[in-house]
Amino acid sequence: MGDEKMNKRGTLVLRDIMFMLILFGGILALASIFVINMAEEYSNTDMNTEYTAENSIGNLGNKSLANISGSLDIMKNETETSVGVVGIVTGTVKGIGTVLSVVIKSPIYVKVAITTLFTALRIPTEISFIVGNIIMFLIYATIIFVIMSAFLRGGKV
Amino acid sequence: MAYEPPTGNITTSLDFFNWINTSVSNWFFTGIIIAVYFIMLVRMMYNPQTNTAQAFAASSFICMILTILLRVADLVNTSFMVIFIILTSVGVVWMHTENAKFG
Repeated sequence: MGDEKMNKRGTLVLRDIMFMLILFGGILALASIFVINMAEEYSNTDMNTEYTAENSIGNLGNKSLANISGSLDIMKNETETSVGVVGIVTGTVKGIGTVLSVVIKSPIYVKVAITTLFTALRIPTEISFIVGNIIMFLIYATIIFVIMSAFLRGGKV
Repeated sequence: MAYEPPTGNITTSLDFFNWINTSVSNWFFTGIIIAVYFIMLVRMMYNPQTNTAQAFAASSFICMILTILLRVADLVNTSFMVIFIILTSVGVVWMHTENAKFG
């Protein structure tokens, strides 16, 4: 995988932790759909109630995905702002700022493409939403950390 | 110690499974799943084509599917099902760390 190139020295960096959180939350969210769907399909109300109880694992996956989405949004905005500042400072390479902004916004199109494909294949909206979001978060995390790493001149983040 | 035979009529296989389960204080299918989990885990660990993380994730995933099906039939409890969901998530994260080759 590409991770081997990004992570030659074999250290656990923030990027990997972010990927782990996204994967962990995504699996829990997908498992929630499976469990709740089975419970409703076979009218097992006990299973439904116990699984969706407050502070249960059923809510944890959705909550953690929502938290990751919020923090990634903040990081994305911060990165966009700093890209603008760098563009002004360097002067001659103003265009780079614009290009990087487009790069930062591009994963949304990947998500839209995946969601559209899933809708065409008649896969339920919930699943296409979660899978699209997981892939978008992973791409966002990669891009944000690569840009941050470039600002730090190859420093590991 | 012998357990009493079922009192009511057993008409479906689910009734039979329920009677087996109650006769051993709801431990029958829990034990079955644990046995299946370890057999699959050890078998896949000794397969040279897969590493430990992949074996862990795959066996957890298969057991997660089985426990959810058993939970729908009220043969195991919710906590046991949740354990395998968490194990699957942990397995996926472990596979990611194996690919990243840190540590």
